[in-house]
Amino acid sequence: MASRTTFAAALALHLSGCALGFDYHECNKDADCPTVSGQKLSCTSEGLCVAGTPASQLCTRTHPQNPAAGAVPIGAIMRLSLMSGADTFLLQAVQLGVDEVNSFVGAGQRPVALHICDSGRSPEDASKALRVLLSERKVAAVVGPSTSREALAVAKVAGDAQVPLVSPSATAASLMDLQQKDYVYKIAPSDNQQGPVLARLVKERSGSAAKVALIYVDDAYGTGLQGAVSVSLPSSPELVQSFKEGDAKTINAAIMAVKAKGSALTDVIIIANPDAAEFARQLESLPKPPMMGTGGVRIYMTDGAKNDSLLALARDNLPAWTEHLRRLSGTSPTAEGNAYKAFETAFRGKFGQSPTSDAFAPYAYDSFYALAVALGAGQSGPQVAAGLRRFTGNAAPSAVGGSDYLKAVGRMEKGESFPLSGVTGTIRFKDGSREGGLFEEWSISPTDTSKFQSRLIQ
Amino acid sequence: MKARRSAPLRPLLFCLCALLPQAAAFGQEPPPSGTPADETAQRLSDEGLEAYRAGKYETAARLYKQAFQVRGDPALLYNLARTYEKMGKASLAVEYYRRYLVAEGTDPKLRARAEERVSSMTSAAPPPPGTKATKAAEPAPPPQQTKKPLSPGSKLLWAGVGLGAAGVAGLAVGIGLYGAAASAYGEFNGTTDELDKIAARDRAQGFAVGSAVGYAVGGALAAGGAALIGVGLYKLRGERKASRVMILPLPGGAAASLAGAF
Repeated sequence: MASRTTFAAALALHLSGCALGFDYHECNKDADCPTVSGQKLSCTSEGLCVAGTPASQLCTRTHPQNPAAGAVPIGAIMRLSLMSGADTFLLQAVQLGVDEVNSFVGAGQRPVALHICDSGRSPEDASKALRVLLSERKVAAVVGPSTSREALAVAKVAGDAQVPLVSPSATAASLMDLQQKDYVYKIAPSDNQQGPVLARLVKERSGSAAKVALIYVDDAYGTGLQGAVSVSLPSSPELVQSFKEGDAKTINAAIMAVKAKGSALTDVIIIANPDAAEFARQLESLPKPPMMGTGGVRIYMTDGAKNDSLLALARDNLPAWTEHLRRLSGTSPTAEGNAYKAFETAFRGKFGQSPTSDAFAPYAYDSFYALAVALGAGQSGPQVAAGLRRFTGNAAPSAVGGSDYLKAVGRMEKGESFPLSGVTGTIRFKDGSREGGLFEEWSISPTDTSKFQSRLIQ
Repeated sequence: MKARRSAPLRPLLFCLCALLPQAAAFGQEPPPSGTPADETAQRLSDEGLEAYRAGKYETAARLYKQAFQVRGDPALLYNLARTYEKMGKASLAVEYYRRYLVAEGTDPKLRARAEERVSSMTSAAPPPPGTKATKAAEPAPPPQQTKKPLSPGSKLLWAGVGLGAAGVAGLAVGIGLYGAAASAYGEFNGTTDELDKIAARDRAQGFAVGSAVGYAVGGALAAGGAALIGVGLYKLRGERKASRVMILPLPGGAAASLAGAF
């Protein structure tokens, strides 16, 4: 018996020692981590080798910095590191909305805390950010992510968790095909609407004999919009070529293909997000249209290109690029009216600059307000999603901002269905997509490169 | 000299008394515990109790005497006293009460009652033979069924077995949790997804701690159980070996008593 007891004790010590002795520390720095499936792993602050950006670097901020007790947690997933913070204006627009809503706390409204996450370097990072928001921050809803590719990548996570996302700038038509459409909403008009608008511009400038090169980013946004443009053009494109986002090799290949066509083209359409500025820079050598008459190559871009990096590029190359900038324009969802002007004024007053540098800033503002009003239906994910679905019908709309917000929440609490009158127009959702929408043609002001100029396209 | 009442599983104390009318087996070796003779004594005692309860006091007295001849349990002396008292044979009852009082290993409560009965019957006029005792003379409890408590060695043995079983269960839990920890550690190493990795790590660490606790508690219980079993076995061995002769001071003369543990 004694020998058996001794054996059991020894076995126990041996085995428990093994389990407690498992080594969970894999690295001290990124260089310690291996490359797995072609992807270099990163070292986290906890000493783990992981794919993508470490979570501790993704979700680092809240707004307000010290949320009030009992504040309803709302998430935001934006591109804050990529492209030097491409979604800075979107985030500021959301923060403006949070501050306005929190100013009504005394009127019986619960405060809101915005948990801000960077979407990192890839859709996988965006998915990780959403999982952090869900598991650690317990958010009831999320504004973002901002691109169609990221929205598609996180849709399943949101659907499984039954927490609604409202993307301020995802426009891919394929988002309408998602199984999780109850939990993925896009507030910007669909690319199915933008494609014909862009094709109409080409037709107006170059006629039915237009010879078009169509370059698009190889993702859901680029593929969807390319298809919508192609079917609306007066004739089949001379060149259709894709590239991978951020991939210099495929970007250069596309640029060389366009240059090879050169003066045989009348129009080049670039569907790109962060790489648009690089295309603008390298296509400067294409023949420029004369001030009067025909000839030269016009360059069109889309909503993804309307951002500060394009303005910075233009600013750095003036005055040599004056002619080049004059032939460069693009389409984008837009906003107008008194509500938009009030938003613009409030934005400028709070952040000292105009939100017009990013076409989707007002959409981000409306995204947040849509969620804030939908919270009147309840504070669980499914309840908020049900609230978003009630932005429909032909009842009198309720406006966002000011005391109108309280009226909208009151209607939501009563279970009414009604459209929301946002700064981007009337918001109605159908299968997760917004119905209707306004578009503009934007271009860079040749005299003031700090801003875009635009005209509404009816 | 104090007689040891403990024996392996069934303690036995017997007394061979010259003064006992039916003690024909003076000097006889006591039967070992658990033997057929012991079982016979138990059966006779049970039948005596049954007869007593049925009011068949003569039969009860005979059976108790036979039982006492087989096994010298002092409780049988008490039972005989009570039976004689019921029969109205006060002198015999007093004699047996007294013999119970001088016997070793008697129950304190019964001793108190026996003393009370002796005092009561020797101070009061004995009732006529064949009549029932008065109500005042009735406080004595009915005859006691003789029970054989577990010996300390047996108690230790069984406690050790129970503790050891709990220890083995604890060790089994520890091994199970170790398996769960190893599985979670495998998941930790097999994924590059940060959140999955952290979840697997936390699970593995939790299981590892649980495993260690299972091993520690289970090991301690098993060791304690083994120790108790060892001590219990040692005591039982000692109880079997222990036996000695003792002189019991009994009324009317000395009696030889042989006490042993079997």
